[in-house]
Amino acid sequence: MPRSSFARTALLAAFLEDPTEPAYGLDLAKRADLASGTIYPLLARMEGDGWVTSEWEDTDPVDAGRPRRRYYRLTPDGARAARAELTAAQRRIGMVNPNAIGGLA
Amino acid sequence: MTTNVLGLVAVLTGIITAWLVGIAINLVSEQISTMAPRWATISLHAAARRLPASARDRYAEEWAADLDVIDGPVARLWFACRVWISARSLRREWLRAQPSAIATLDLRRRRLVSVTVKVEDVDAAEAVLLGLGHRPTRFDLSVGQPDSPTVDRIQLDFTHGVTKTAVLNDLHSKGIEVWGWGELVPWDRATGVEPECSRAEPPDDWFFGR
Repeated sequence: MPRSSFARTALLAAFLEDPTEPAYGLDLAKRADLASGTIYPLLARMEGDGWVTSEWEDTDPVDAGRPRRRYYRLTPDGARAARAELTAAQRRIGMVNPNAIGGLA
Repeated sequence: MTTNVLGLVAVLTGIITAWLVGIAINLVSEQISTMAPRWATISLHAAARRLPASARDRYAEEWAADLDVIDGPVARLWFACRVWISARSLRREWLRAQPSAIATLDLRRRRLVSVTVKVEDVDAAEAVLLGLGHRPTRFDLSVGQPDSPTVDRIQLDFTHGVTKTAVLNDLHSKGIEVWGWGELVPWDRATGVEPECSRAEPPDDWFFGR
């Protein structure tokens, strides 16, 4: 299992708020309460580990009037691993309540 | 009387100073607000340039989209600065995740020739380990393939005569970026004759890019 950190745990928790809902980087940073610069290396690592996939939104930048966003989503393996990592993190800090993690039970 | 005049002068000086400072702060903040969008764009471009070539376009577009969501010029500039600061870390993660292009090649029958490489961000300690007495530059190295090649193992031939064999991913894990271009051409190991490289510019489908 990859080395955990506060930022990583926060990001995983943000992902697990709605594991099926794709989100773009800045949105994830806000949800995880992380500095904007921190989010991209974390996402790159998770993508490299196969926990996360990303894809461009299906829109024309000209029609939308803004650049395309890159949306990230947990893979099924990533979601399972993320729940396990969050549970472990909660146990480490003495918050043994696995049911608090969405979809774990 | 004199004391009263001096006191009045001091009060007036204080008022004028406060007024001037207020104007200066206003001017500076207006200037920052005016310049911040441009600085933010410049910072994001600079951040993209810190990434490997294969990641630049993707992240430049992704960051531009995220920047577009942020309200306020100063907040945008702050975002761009944070991205720039984290670009080095992102580059490391990106390189770690990418399979080596050279690892997918059949190196037993072909040989890398006439490769130009660029070595960046080699700290002084690493330079000593590599046998250099100074910070390496692109002119210090050529990349070749050892006679008994293994996947992803490259030979670094320094212009000052030292030859080192290195594993590409080891170099990347140390924060050394090696990229280059060249041609893979049939090479007759029996005669040992190396073909000449005919290209003057990187091919569109360069096989060895980081």
